[in-house]
Amino acid sequence: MLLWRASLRFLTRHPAQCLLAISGIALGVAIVVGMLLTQASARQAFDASLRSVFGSATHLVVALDGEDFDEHWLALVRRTAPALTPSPSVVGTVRSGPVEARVALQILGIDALSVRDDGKRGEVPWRQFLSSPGAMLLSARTAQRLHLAPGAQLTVETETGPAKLHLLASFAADESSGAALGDEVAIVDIASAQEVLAKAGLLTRIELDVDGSDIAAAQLATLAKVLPSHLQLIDVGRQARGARSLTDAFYTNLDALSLLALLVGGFMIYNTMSFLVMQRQAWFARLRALGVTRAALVRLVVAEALLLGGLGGVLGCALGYGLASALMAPVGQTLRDHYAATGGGQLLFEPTLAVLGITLAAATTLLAAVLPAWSALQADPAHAGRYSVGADSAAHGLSRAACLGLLCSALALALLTLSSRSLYAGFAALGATILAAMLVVPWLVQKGLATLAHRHTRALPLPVHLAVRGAARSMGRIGMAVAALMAATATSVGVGLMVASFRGAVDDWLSALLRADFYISAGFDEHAPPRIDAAFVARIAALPEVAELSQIRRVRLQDGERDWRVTAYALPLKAQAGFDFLAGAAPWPEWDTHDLAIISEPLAYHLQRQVGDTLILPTPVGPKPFRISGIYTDYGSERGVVAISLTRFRHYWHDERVHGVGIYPRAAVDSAALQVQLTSLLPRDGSLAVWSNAALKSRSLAVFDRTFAITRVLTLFAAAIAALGVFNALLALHLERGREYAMLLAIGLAPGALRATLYLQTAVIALLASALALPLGVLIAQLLIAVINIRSFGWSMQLTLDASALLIPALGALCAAVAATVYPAERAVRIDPATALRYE
Amino acid sequence: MAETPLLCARGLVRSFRASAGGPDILRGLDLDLASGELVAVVGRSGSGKTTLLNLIGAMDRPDAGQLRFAGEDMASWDERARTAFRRARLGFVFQAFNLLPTLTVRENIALPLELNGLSSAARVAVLLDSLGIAALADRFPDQISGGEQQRTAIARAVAHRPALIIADEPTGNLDRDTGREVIALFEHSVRASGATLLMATHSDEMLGCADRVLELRDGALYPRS
Repeated sequence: MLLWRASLRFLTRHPAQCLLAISGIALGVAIVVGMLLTQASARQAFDASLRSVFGSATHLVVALDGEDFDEHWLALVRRTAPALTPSPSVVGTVRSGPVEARVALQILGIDALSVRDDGKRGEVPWRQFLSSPGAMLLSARTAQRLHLAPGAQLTVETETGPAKLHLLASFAADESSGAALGDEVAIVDIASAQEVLAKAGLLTRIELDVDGSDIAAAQLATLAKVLPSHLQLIDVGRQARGARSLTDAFYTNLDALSLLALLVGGFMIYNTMSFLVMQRQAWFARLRALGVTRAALVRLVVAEALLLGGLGGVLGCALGYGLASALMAPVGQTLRDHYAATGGGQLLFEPTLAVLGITLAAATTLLAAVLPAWSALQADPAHAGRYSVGADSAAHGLSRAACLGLLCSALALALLTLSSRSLYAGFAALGATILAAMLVVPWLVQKGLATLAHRHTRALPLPVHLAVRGAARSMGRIGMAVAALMAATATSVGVGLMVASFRGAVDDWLSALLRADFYISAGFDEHAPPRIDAAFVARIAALPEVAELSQIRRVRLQDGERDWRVTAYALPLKAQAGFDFLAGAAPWPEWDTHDLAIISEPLAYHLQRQVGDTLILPTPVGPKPFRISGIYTDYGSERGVVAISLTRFRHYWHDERVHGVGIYPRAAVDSAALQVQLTSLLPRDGSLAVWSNAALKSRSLAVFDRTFAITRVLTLFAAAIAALGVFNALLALHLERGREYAMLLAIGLAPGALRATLYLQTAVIALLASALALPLGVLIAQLLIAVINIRSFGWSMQLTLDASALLIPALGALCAAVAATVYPAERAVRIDPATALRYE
Repeated sequence: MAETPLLCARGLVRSFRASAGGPDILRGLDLDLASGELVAVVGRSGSGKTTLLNLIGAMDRPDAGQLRFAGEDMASWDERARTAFRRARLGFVFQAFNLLPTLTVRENIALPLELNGLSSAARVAVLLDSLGIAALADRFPDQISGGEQQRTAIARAVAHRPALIIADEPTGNLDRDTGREVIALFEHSVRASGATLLMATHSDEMLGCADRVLELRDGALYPRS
């Protein structure tokens, strides 16, 4: 009991150290919990959005071009596959609310007679729903947001004008999803939907439920055979899995960065625990002399670690929740930007994550406390009479740590050599590299400083000499904090260089690719149907100011194996020059006459296809082989794209519509006037927009910057933790050296000289840490570019040594370290020598 | 027939940094300590006094020779037994006091009692009174003087009634007057507890209260008249 009391009093007598340790672990845990919570919420929202789109169906019949199709095909489906309970639906978007604040509302028209029971059946007055035209069902939350009570009317704007709906009833949205399944969706009878959306006689999809029985499987197979060529059968589960797997790499990257922050936090805990133990090495020796067992001392140290870790964990969970709230918006935006997936929604309250956070904190702390506990175990009772012991043992540990570091670097090399595609192996190699550097650097710095102190500083003023000597001596104590600072700085440098290189590559790619002066398109939703018909294209082409046009048509195809994103291009010479071929030759001479395909770099990586291989694409006239004639740079989609000729597309699909048109004006045309003219030609429903080259490029780069905003936040967190670690280490170091400083003051060293010594000492250490962080940062950037980016997304790029990405984190680390010296140094120079020397 | 000594050392050898082939500090040292005896060891700095105390206190092991406590061969003790020996049968007084700074005077004295699972309140109260530090009971070590700290250390050393007390320059950090007071209290406490005391000291006052004075010279003990 007295031992525990002594331990607790020790901790409460060193509140700053404890607070810093708790902050370190709390920040580390906050990042991990925050990221996991954000991901869990985003994933739930993603799943909910899939369910809201696909309902409980396992398969869908949809048109190959994503458009609506004639409802008479429902009869064929029902006749062929009655066991699959075909359920038709019509989907479209309307707008509601006042003109200045219109919000989109999805209309989901369902056949009430064949609707599946997904939890809402029991709550809904289906008879009235069927018999009352314009009746709609809304989630309670959406009804509340639209200020609608049952019976209230809602006027919505459709493509053909205003339409009236009335609220029949509201249902409780699926709150457990966190994203509120059913939100922003108005469920109406299919006939009402066809009327409101001007889709008379059309269906958007037919939902099928394959229950796993043999009959269902047989009917599904038959249906696949009898469906006309413009309709396709989609496996919803596979599509959802595919969509989820696409976001996995994105999440893995975030996980890795948050774990790095935790690693830095772990080093901080290690540092703190080491100090807490080393400061009491003499006590432990006394206790051993008094007959306290080693096990009791280890229990004491472990309990202290758990206490700090537990407090840090609880605080970290609370902070993590706050962080997740802040990250939900940017993560959601990134998911929408890149994966066309819902990522926003409500933040989940996930108790298991709180447990995980606290466990993680405790585990990290325990791991970090192993060495200090071992050190306490070594407390020699024969040293009980000394004032302080163990000062040298930490320095001896540096060489052992350096050896361990070399092993880690060998592990990193082995991982990179043995695995060429695994993302996890890539991250493990990256982690091992950083860990290796963290373990080697303190030894390296200590050796460098010791050499410097011996050979070059004797002629220099006393403060400089003392500073270099002191820095060399203190590495045993603060080496790990310096290593953590270096790792965080290097990571900031590495991530900064990678982002700068990536941004440069994207910028170059966009500049090369976007060669038209203006683009007309419906927007950036890859699921949107083509809205530009041949007549519109002809009108644009006929303008005297227009020299040439490029056209683009996107289509999503699914065959038995995978989903294909196909882009069909009609490109003038100028646009053709924008393609950068990584392999193969430009296919343009045979582009319109042969079934050639060029594939983007990510697709080539994912499919492991090469120039000369053949892709079999499902077309309305059956599967057709397209020979790969080139692999091109494309940073637009990580899932990868197959590009074919628009002429060949039209040959097989018999569809003249396109998604976008690029306009190449004649020489000396007034761009502003042309933009006005183009805008005046657009349909009045606002379905199309004119984008200038600069606006489109700027929008793309803004998406890029948003994507990496989270990455920057995470690296900043890691750097903040490291700065805290340095502060903690310096504070403890100066506390420990109190007697030494008191002695120097007592024998006449001026406080100013002592202060200068301490600042200089920190500056020397931070300079060395920053200097070592630069090459490590470049190595991290190279690993991120050449290993992680390729394995995650399939994108390659050149490393660019951006000066600001190199220098800002290094200068930041230097400033943080010097700032961290202010309090400990001021405290040190205010020591009363008489008091400090009187009692240890 | 002579009574079995509480502690019996024969031919003790201990080298300083033995693994590095350093010089022998103790070279075949012999020592018998009887129960209740107060023995002082003197010697020049570096003569091996602290090394001898560490060996007898089971905090170090001899390179050669035999060390028996109450008839038991200390060489056969494992780490657990050595720890138990220090906890139950040994008391320490150090030159630098070595109190635990986060425990009060009362708690420092109670610590060995608690480690031995003994009830402490009454015993601690008696010791606080007898050593004249009752008024300081709830103060922390850094709030009291050196003499008061050493009195606390003496109380801690005798609290659990050990058979053997080891003291290493117990008045080395104290002025002459305070040292004299502490010595008187120390002698009184040790004799009252019936323990055997082995102390390394340079203090004439301390030597004056010893039953025997031995000089450690050239790695062996010699009686000093």
